[in-house]
Amino acid sequence: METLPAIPWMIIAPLLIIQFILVVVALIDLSKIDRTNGPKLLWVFLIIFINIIGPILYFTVGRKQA
Amino acid sequence: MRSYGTFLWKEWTEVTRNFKLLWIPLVFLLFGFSEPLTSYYLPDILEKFGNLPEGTVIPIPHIDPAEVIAATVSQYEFIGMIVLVAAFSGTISKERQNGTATLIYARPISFTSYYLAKWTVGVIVTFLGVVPGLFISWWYTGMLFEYVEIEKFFSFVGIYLVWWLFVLTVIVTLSAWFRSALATVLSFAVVILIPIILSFVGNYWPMHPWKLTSYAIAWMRDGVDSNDIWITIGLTVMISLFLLWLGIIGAKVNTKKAKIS
Repeated sequence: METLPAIPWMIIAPLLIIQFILVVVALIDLSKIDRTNGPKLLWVFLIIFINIIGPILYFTVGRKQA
Repeated sequence: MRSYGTFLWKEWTEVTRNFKLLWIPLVFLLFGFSEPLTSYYLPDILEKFGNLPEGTVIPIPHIDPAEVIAATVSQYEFIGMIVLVAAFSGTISKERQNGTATLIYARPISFTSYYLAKWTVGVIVTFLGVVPGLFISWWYTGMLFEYVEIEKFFSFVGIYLVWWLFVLTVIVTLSAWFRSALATVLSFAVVILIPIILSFVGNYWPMHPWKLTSYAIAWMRDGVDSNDIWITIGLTVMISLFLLWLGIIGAKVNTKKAKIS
């Protein structure tokens, strides 16, 4: 962990912010939607733990359009 | 064409409600940020996680900034395409399958407006992703390496957007003609499979829409234009217009396929 201060957070921040927004939006949508393809709980884990791809997967194949 | 405005509004509400307007541009932005960063930190990443023997020196070649933007583009060509196909290949066909279409088709609608509204919103969402994403990539590349000349960059974006217009037209038209699943498969074939095949066999045939990306990148790199580019752009625009027309026909012809629920 001694390299931590060396990371230029200013440069990486936008990346983290975008990922964060994606995760939050996906979770909000998940909480509102009636049904998903596959169990909801699975999607919670996928969205939170798989970087970038998790939320994208949720939006593309997870949502069940009414 | 008065119904065009109504349809446009319907589509617009739809893309905001299902968050397409938010997450698609975000995904493009994400790659706009991450590709220059990856190129910049690649030596460090290799050193930290590459399991290289002690004292290995990796000669890092001088990185051409156009190369970094090209790397962003290659992400767009794959992940961007998947995202777009997944988001829009059901745009018309799904309405037929889930019964929304019966509500629409029950009225004397103009299929031109109906189709064009879907197409317009698709284009807006795509461009909101591609343009800021590329611009961020240009800006970050400039900060970390050096700037690509802005004129060259703009001409690159201009040519590249023609390609995306073509892609979107293909997707929406396929959606007008086929069922969702088939439209998705065919869209993938057109935007991902054909380029792969062409990259093996297409060297002798310089003018087709799938060449646009490499022409756009070549322009950014060398700033040269050749006749091939202009003919290719013209050809692509013509094919896209033809596909638009075909799509409108398709949307009309397939009304009887709408499932009544």
